[in-house]
Amino acid sequence: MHMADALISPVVGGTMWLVSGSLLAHSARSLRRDTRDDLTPLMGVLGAFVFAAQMINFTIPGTGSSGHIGGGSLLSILLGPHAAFLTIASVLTVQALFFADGGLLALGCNIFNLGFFPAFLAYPFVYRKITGSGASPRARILGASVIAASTGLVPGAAAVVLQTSFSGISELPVPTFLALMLPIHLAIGIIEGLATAAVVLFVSAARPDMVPSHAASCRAGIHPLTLGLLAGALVLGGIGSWFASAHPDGLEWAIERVAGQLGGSRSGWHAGLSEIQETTAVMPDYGFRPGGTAAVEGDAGEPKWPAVDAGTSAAGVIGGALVLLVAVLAGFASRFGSARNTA
Amino acid sequence: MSGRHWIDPGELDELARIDSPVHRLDPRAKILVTALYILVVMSVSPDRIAALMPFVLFPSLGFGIAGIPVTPIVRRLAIALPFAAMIGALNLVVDREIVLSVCGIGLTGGVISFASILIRAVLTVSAALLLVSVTGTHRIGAGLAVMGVPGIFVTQVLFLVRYLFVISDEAVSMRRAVDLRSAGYHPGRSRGLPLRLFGSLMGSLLVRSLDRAVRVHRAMRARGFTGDVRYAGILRFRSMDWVFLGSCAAVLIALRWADPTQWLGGVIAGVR
Repeated sequence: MHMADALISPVVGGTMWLVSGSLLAHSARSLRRDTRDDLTPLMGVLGAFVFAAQMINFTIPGTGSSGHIGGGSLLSILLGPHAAFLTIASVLTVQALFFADGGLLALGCNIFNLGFFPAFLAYPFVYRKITGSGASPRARILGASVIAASTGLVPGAAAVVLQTSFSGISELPVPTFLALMLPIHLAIGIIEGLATAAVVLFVSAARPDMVPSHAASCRAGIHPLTLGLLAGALVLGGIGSWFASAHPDGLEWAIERVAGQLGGSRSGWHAGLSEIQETTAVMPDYGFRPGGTAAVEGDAGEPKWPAVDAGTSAAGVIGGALVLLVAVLAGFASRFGSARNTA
Repeated sequence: MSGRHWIDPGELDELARIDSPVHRLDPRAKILVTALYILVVMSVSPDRIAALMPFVLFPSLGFGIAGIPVTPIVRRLAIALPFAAMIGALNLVVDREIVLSVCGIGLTGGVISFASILIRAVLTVSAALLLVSVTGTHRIGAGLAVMGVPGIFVTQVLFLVRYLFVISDEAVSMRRAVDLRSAGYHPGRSRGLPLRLFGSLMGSLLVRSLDRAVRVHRAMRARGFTGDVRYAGILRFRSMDWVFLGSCAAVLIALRWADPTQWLGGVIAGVR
């Protein structure tokens, strides 16, 4: 459920960058205080381990298909919230940069969706509460892993829905979108929990010293101030992106408003044109007829798409194709101009 | 090999060792321009597909001047697209109003927003790939650290990239060993391992990885590591970098507000 750049608006992406950035800074600060200098190689190697673990598929019980783990819950159990958050963030960064999995603008969203919930919500408030401190029986670890992995994944899936919807890019209504995403991710969460438990149980049997069972490494705390800032950023971003998505381009919207006021008879003009549109939409070469319009809702309401003038569209199609051709050719041409000496 | 999305990440770092004018720019300038590019592309309103076309020039020229081969980039693009395509495809179903017709073929709002999502996915992903393949992990890390990203996070990313191969090779050879001994799982029926077997396989890999972390830590301590990676001497922001940063920013912002496609198309087609 990696978000891609193409699915979010700059406002949503930027807001989530701020949120994830402050969480990163917070985690980095609290790890500084820990002064465990073995943490750096440990986090690095475990991040690489998550990558490797994603290469190995397991059979999903009860079905014929197979899946791989996400690793957020496992990292939280092994490293505690702050180090786990940093490690998940680094995995996502490398995926975005090297594997084109998720994007750079969406990185803030992805770090928040896939890192915040398992590390700062599910681990301290679910997993630790169920297992407690000290050694836990196997069944309890299993139950805790399943519930914690689901609590870590489902809110993330909900966040994906909200971020895409706030960006105004997916046109699916929020409830439908949620109904699509949540059940799937609940199932994925349960499976993730089973796989996580299988690994944790093996390690705690083989090398009990490697699974931290004490609460010392886990000052789950996010400072209340940080939480306040987070909430503030989310509210601001929410308002901003609502505005931005209702009016994708502030300037165009403003111009349209002004033009509407000046024109006065806009609604009549509008209705007339959509009538023409209904009767001529299938006619050939319609797009080239000057002054015609495409679009638009028949009702008197605001058009969902800014009215597309057919002349403008034709110019757009031709110009777009030309510019694309020039851009690609320029790329190939520049290859010949530049010396290529691989070091 | 089982992981389908598995691509050698070292390939891009190899490409970063090519010598070209683009490679020689300071990583900070390239990071800033890439960020601005992605912001500008994503801020173009979703229904204006033609306005996106000039932005193709940036990755096209970047890869071209840098002499980066096309194949590894296209392979990564192909992997990146499905999720965006999936969400975009929903728009096809939801928005069926005809908003534009080209040569008699009615295009619905859904088709246009689907195309717009795909095009923007290609543009933004190639910008990120361009950044890595002309800069390289270590120099991006150095740039980020100097720009104020927490040192521990930068170190973590560099470590992760370094150990990716080591641990994955181990995972691959363990998986091969399981396949050869077939340990109660029947190839052909499912691509996955039974959960219990998965647990012990991954558990062993985890134990090996943790042991390796301990050894790495000792080796680093022995060489005087205190928790910080130093980047002295990597970065130099020269006048060329200012020129690159300034001109790219100016062009990107100009393209955001002016629409040369519309004008060019108008001139050619003689409409408007």
